[in-house]
Parts: sequence; C-alpha cells; structure tokens
Amino acid sequence: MPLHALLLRQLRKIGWNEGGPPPSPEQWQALLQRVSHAYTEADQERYLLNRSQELASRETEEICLRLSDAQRIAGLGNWMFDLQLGNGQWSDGCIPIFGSFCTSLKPSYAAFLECIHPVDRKKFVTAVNLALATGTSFEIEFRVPEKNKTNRWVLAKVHPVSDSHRALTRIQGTVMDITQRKQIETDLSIAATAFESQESMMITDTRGVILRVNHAFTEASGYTAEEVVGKTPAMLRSERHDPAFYAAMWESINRTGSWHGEVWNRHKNGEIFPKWLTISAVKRDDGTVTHYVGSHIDISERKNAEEKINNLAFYDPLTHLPNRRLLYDRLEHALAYCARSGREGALLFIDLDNFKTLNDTLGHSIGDLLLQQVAHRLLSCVRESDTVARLGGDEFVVLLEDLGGHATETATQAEAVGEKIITALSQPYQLATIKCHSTPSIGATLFDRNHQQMDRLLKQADIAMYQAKKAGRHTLRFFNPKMQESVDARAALEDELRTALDQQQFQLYYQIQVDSAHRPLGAEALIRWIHPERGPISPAQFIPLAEENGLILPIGQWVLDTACIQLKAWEQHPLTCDLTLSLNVSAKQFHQADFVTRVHETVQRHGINPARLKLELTESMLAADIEETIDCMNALNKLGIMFSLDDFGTGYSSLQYLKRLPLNQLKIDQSFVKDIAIDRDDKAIVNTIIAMANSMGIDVIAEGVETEEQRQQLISSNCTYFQGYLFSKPIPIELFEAYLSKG
Amino acid sequence: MLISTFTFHAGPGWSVDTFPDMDSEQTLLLIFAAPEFFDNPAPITTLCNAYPKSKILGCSTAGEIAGSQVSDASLSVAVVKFEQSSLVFTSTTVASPEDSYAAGEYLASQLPTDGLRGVFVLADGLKINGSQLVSGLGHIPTHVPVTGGLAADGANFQRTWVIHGGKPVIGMVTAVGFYGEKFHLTHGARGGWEAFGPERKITRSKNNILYELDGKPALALYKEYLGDLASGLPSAGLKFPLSIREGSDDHKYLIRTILGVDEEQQSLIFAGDVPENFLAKLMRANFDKLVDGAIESAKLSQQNVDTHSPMLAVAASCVGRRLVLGEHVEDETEAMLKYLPEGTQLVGLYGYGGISPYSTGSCDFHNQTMMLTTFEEF
Repeated sequence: MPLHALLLRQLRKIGWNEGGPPPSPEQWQALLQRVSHAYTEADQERYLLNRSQELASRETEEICLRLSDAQRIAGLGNWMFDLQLGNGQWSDGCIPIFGSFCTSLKPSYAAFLECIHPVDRKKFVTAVNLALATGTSFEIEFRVPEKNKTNRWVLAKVHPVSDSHRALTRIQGTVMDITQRKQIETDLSIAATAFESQESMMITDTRGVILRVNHAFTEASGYTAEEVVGKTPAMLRSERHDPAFYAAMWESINRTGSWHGEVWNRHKNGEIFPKWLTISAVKRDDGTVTHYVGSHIDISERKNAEEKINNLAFYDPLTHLPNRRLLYDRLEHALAYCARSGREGALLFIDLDNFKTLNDTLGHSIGDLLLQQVAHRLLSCVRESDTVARLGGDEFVVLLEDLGGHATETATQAEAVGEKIITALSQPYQLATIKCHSTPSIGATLFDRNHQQMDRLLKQADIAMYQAKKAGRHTLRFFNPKMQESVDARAALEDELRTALDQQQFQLYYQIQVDSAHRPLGAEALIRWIHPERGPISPAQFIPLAEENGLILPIGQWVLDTACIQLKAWEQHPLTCDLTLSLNVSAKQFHQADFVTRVHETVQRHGINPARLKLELTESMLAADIEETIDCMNALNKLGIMFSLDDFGTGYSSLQYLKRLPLNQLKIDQSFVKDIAIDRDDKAIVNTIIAMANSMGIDVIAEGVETEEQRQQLISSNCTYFQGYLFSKPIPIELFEAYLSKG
Repeated sequence: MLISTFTFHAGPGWSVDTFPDMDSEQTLLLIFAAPEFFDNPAPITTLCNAYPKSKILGCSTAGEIAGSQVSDASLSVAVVKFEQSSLVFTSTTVASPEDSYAAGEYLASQLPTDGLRGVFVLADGLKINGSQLVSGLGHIPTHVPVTGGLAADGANFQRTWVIHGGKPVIGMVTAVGFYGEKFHLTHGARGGWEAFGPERKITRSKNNILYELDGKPALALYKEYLGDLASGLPSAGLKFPLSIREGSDDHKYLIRTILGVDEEQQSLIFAGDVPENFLAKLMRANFDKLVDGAIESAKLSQQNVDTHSPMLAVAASCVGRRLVLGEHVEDETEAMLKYLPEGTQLVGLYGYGGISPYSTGSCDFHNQTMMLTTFEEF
C-alpha cells in the first residue's frame, strides 16, 4: 500500500527519502512530532466540525421555529413550487388560509391554483407567467372559495426563483388571509361614501384640530378643506354663544359621548347661520376617545320658518309690533322682575282719537299707513327695553319697565313718556299723498310689588284711557280707584243679571194703551227686574249692560215667550181677547240671523194670533242695514205680526225708507208729548207726524201722556191712541187685569 | 526576463552558493521572511546589499512559500530581472490603521499612470486596515491590476513589518509599479471556504472592529463556536472567518479574517472593514475546497498568458488557511503548481490578507483566499 501523501511529505520534511536508509533517531523524533501534530489538528478539526454543526443546526432550528411562529402569528403561510418538476411545498400556515381542502392535495403549483377562486385564477396565472418572464416579484389578491361560507380574501406575495441553471422555473412566496382587511376596506369605502353625504361633516382629533371635512361642509361654510384642516372649529364661531354654552356642550360630550343642538356659526363671508349640530366622540374599545365627528345640517330655512310662525303668533303683521300674546308674556316677565327687584313700571293704553272717522273717510289703506307710522313714532319715544304692542284697531299699549323705586318717581317717569308720546303722535302725518292729523288719548296705570294682576292692570289702563277720552281726548289720564269701583259694580251687576235670568227674577209690567174714548186697545209690555235683595232695578240700568254682554238675547226671548203666554191667556177672556200686546225688541235681537224663525216658532208654539203681537222697533235699529230690515219686517208681517216704530221723531228716519217699511203704527216720542201744550214747535212736529202717518195709512200713538191737557192737545192734532200715566203706569198683570175689570 | 528563486534556512543557510548576478534598475527583489528576522536582520541586509540597484519588496509572513514547500523561520527569495519593462518603487509610513486610506492614496499618486501595467503592494499587516488601503489605491486607473499582500506575524498578531532600506520596518507600505508594453501581470483569487449556519446582521461595528451580531456580542458567539478551543483566540478565530455581504440581494461575498480580540469590549478586530448592517455568516474550511480554491486561483491567473515565457508566480495566501490546513498546507501549493506552466517558479507568503481585483475591475481586499499573481514579459 502506498504511503499517505501527508506522511510522505512529513518524511521528506525530516530529510528521509523513499527507498533511502531508515531515519535517524533525530529524524524519528521529528517525524513523531509532526505526526502527533497532525493528529492533534485532526482532533481539533473534528471537534470544531461537530461543534459547529451542532450549534449551527440548533441556531437554524431556532430561527426556523421563530420564523414559523412569526408566520403563524402573522397569519402567513409560505410555499414554493417548481413549475418544471411540478412539485413543491407549503407550510402548515397555508392550511387555515386555503381551508382543509388543501390537505387532501399534494403541494404543487397546480394544486395551489385549484385553491384559488375560478374567477381569479386566470389573473393569478397571468401574473406568475409575467414574473417568470421578467424576474420581478408581485403581490396579488384573490378569493378562496369556502364551502357554505362567503369567500375568503387572500393576499399572495410571489417571488420568482431561478434554479441551479439560472432559469426561472420556481416561484416562492407567502399567503395571508386578508378577509378582515377587505371587510374593513369595504366598510371604509361605505363610510367614505357616507361621509360625502348631503350633511356637513367634520372630523377632529382629540384636541379639536380639524383633520377632515366633506364637500357639503365646504359648501355650507364657504371654506375649502385646505383652509380649515389643521385649524379648530373655533374659526367658525359666531360669538353668539357664551363660554358657558360651550362648557355645557363639552360636559355633555365627555359625559355621554355626544351632544346635539342648535349652533350659530359664521360663514366665510361673515354671514351668521344656524345649524343643527351633532357631535359624537369616536372611542376605541378601551373607551379612549380618538376623534370627534361633527355633522351639521343648515337649519336657516327652518329657523326662518320658525321665525315667521313666531312673528305670526307674537307679532302684529301690520306694524310688526308685539301682539296681545307677546305683550302678556312681556308683562308677565316685567311683573316678575318688578316683584323681584322692587323696580316699578307703568302700562300706557293708547287709543287714536277719531281713527274710525279717518278710516271710514280715507279708506283702510290710509288707516293702515297711519297705524304703521304711529307704531314707528311710539318706538322712537321709548327705550329699547320697553315694549310697544298693538292690541288691534287703533289700540296700542306701551309697557315701561324699571321706571323707579316708588310711586311718585314712577308716575313722573310714566307721565314724561306719555307726554312725549302725545307730542310725537300729534305731529302731522304724511300718508301717501295725504297729509293729516291725529291725536292720541292715553290711559296710564302703574304697577308695583302689590299690583301684579295682568288683566286688572290692562283694564285699569283701558279705563284711564276712557277717562282721557271723556276729558276731551288728546290727553293723558292716570287710572284712579273710583273709576275702578264703578267698573266693579258693573261687573257685579253682570253676574247678577245672569242669576236673574236663571232664577226668573224678571217680570213683565203692562201699561195700557187706549183710544180717545179711553177704551183699552192693548198694552205695552215692559220688563222689570225684581232683585230679591235690592228690589226693582230700572231697565235703564241693566238693559244697556245686557245689550253689551249679549244677555239681551235670552232676555228678549223670555219677554217674547212671556208675552205670548199672556196673549194666549187673554184670548180666553172676552174682556181681553181683542187686546194687542206691544214688545220692545232690541237691536241685537232684531238683527239675529234667525230672528224671523224664532218669532215664528214662538208664535206657533204658543198658538196665539200673530196679529195681536206688536213689535216695537226704534229708528236707530232700522238705519243699520235697511234692506235686511225691510226683508225681515216683511217676513214677520206676512206671518201677521204687527210693527210699531218707537220714539218716532227723535232719529233721522229717511222718509224714503219709512215708506217701504211694513209699519202699522208710529209712536210719538214722549219728549214731544211732554211740552205739546206749551211748545208750539212740539205741537207742529206732532201735527206733522200725525198728518204724515195718516197719509201713509198708519196708526199713531202718543206715549208719555200724563195730563188731560196733553190728551186734549193730541186729540186736537188728530192723534187717536194714547199711552201714559194719565191712564195707568206700567203695572203687574194682576193689577192690570184688575184695572181692566174695573173698566 | 530572468528569474531566480532561492531560500535561506537558519541551519543550512542559503540554498545558493552565490546570489545570482541580476542586479539592475529593472530588477525586482522579492523577500518573504519569517517574522523573527526582525530581531536578526543580517541575512536580509546581506541579501539587499547584493542588489543595490534593484527594487526590493519584502515582508514578514506566517509561512514562507518556496515552490511547493511552506516553511517557517526561513526566507523565500525571488530575483526577477526584466528586460523590456521598467519599475518604479514607492513607499509610505502608517502610524495607525486610520492612515490606511491616505497611504493608499499616496502610493497611487507616486506611480505615474502613463504606461503603468500593474502594481504589487506589500504592507504592514497590523497597522493597516486592508479595506481602507485598497480604497486609497482605488486612485490607480481601474484597468491597471493591483495585487499584493499584508505582512504577518505567524499566528501571534504582535508585530508585522516590511523591508525598506535593506531592513525590517514596522508601519510601512511599499509598492512597485511595472511599466512597459511587454509586461504582463495576471492574477487569480479563490477562497474555498463554506459559509454555514444562519446569516446574521452586523448590528454594531466601527471600521474593522466588530462589536455585535444580531444585537449580541460577537466575541461571545466565537467563543461558543470554538468551545474548548476558545483559549486559542485570536488565532483560533481564524478557523471561522466571516463572510460578509451588503444585503440579501448582493451576491458579492467578502471574507474577513480575525486579527485580534478585545475582551473588554467583547469585540473582534478584523483585517478589513465589517460595515454595520452588512449580513455576515460564519465560514468553515473544507479541505478539499481550500485546495480546489488554490487550483482555481492558479487557473484564473493563467488566462492570457504565454505558457512558453518564463513566469514568476507569487502566492499570497492567508494565515487562516495555513492554520486550518496545518500539516496539509502544502496540498494547496502542490496543487497550484500542477496547474501552472511547467518551469513556473513560485514564491509567496501566508499573510494577513491579500490584495487583488475581485474578479474583474479594480482591486479588493481579501482574507482567507489564495491569491496568485504572475509576472511575465512577452
């Protein structure tokens, strides 16, 4: 066996040549040292080889483990395929991504393709071919179908790899499940679309720095995104809200996570506009706020509409002054302030003198112009804190607050304002082309801590105003308590009147009507109120009141009913069966729309002869609407009802109309009768009336006949019927019937 | 071109009776010397005195190559008298590795570029950062091949030197530039090491000092791999040179040899730069591959040569290879000679690094490689 090359070399080194004599002892020694050295080196080499192999394997194993852990944590799978050999490998991380389906497949490019959704497969193959052709890596997203579930989305990173011959025949890469990311992307896309809605949107960070705004925001605010991003919403503030407003807003956001409400903001052009703002805090899972989202709707239109409604509800459309409602509201506040502070105030009730005349003569449009100018002048006479209201027509009220701490001071101040108003309103007015004058009458009343009833105060001012009118107009009057007393008395009477109707405290008294031979022809029924405590109350006292408050209607009906009952009763008696009964009809009663029906119904209900019933009208009643009156009278006349014109001669009856009325009788007013014996004029008037009546074929009756002389004078004037104390005063039915029986 | 090679061994003395009579301005005297001649420079001085006109390059080694033989405690000498080429000698001193770039730059500036056909450099092996020196030499036009080696101090890493003025000098770099159209310098360099284990990132380093790999002390890693042999550091570290590259896409691997350790800093000092963020792998020798590497370098150096002209081959191998090959070290010199033209005379050294163009283009600094440079005139 030939010697080892190293041994030969070592032998040469000690100077021994092959085939030569054996080495000397020194050469032996040197050779042994060299051999020993070679062994030591070989041992060391083996040691290092083993050790390095072991350590490197361990390190590599650790790295593999770390890599595999990292891929597992990252949700990555890795793979490598040889397209030429048709084999390859994939890591376990691929299985959850491709589904258990892939465990049944032998790893290969073809198997990999099988896992890809058929729709995306071609795209993947094209990309792989391109990568192999160009040597460039690529990333691609595709779907992986999953049984009975929605598709999974996968991101693959693909890297072409060359084989030992530098040919690109392999691909390797990773796959990652990005289904969740895709979902988020979809959500984001939806959110982005939603963000660009019609509603203005703004996103800020936690410091309130604007990060993003949408198109609607830029439209609504006038600012571009570049102009607002990086700034805070403070740039939009209108200064209409105080710090407390914003403090409350943030308190709500911090406490509940949101706030919504109305905010006035400033447009870039300086205009201030209202918006409905909703602020929501965006929070992480742990509750930490990351952003704030503000969405706003421009509510200018709604606010305008609200304002319009408000104006309609609280303002007078003609003068734009507060109306009665708003006045009450302000008065309520004023009284509350007064009660709190002790600062007194005043109410001025202003009525324009002769406004009705102006309106009637110059027309409503001119009247309206006057009212507008009056409103304007009134406003110029008061402080901004005071209230000028229009109650309607030509009635204005001025509410003066905080005038003084005691009555004298308050009254002085109120009077000063009142005088100022009188001066201002009495200046000439230019109404369109017309120049005219107007003056006010002002009633004033004061309020303090003790005088707090709103209705009462207004009433007081109203009463004072009437006092001013009575005092000759164009002046100011303060309310005084005596006026109040009479008003109170009147109010009490009104209450009692209602009670009287309910409790039948009324009676009819009858005053006989006779002919020249004293023969009874009939009677006039006159209402009497027999108060259970106060005794009889004069009709002069309660009829005007009843006319005012409408009680005259039920009272009138009661009179009609009672009269009919009486007529019915009289029909049964030979002594009374031919008598007529006259009733006074009030204007309100007569102008009721269904007056004819009511009378007809009543007559029928009582079954009386209508010809026995005579209704007395006054001249003033006829003037209101003559045509309607004539129609009404004709209708009743057709039923057989008779008419007498009461107080004839005191009014201004047009003979033209008189001619057309279906009258049966004229009643000469007692004022003419009273002095007929001594006053030639009265006598002449009476003569004329009777002559006229005769010519028209109408009866004439004189009322208020008290003396025989008067009767003689009337007879000489051809008056045929009489009524008065000379024959009998109005008396209750029992006395009346007794009177008749006596003859 | 005339070539003569001979040796000096302490006992037998010079292998030739008289020094060849080849002294001239166009003569190159190459001396590869055992480090201990620093303290006993007489043979060197004697030799140099015999060649007063010649350009002399020489340095200490970790093994002197003469033919296929690798010796210690010897001088390996080559005398080359060029007939149609001229030589320019230049040198400079370096006080510390920081001067390396400037030194390279200076040498380059001292060699006229007109007609320059090649440069051979020998430098102190411990005071020089080979990478920086090579960068400085980058000022030499890229078509001019630059080769050479770094002096060594056996496996002691204490003291390295070059010959200047007829005696050993520490902290110096010497170079000879070759001029003339007939002059041909060829080169080949191959490692034959295998990287193994995981690739690591250089996370902390400064020039040629490596502190951390993957955030851990680099010295600790070496100690772990060396195990019982860790006490042999730094020379034991030569068994595990470092293969570095710039990034995972970079296919140019450079090999770095350990020159020293700093226990205090837990750092390793390499013969060339180990830049931060480079990727590094430990390397391990494979006998067969080392020898194959030597053969490859021989083959590489034989492109564009005239196989009939006399040829001097200068091997600049690395101390790491010597350490690993041990008693087998001559396997690589023998194998190399087999692939060189018959009659080629080989001298050389085991040093602390070699300078040679990476494959094409300008020069690079190499560790753990077998580099072969050939000189010819034809």
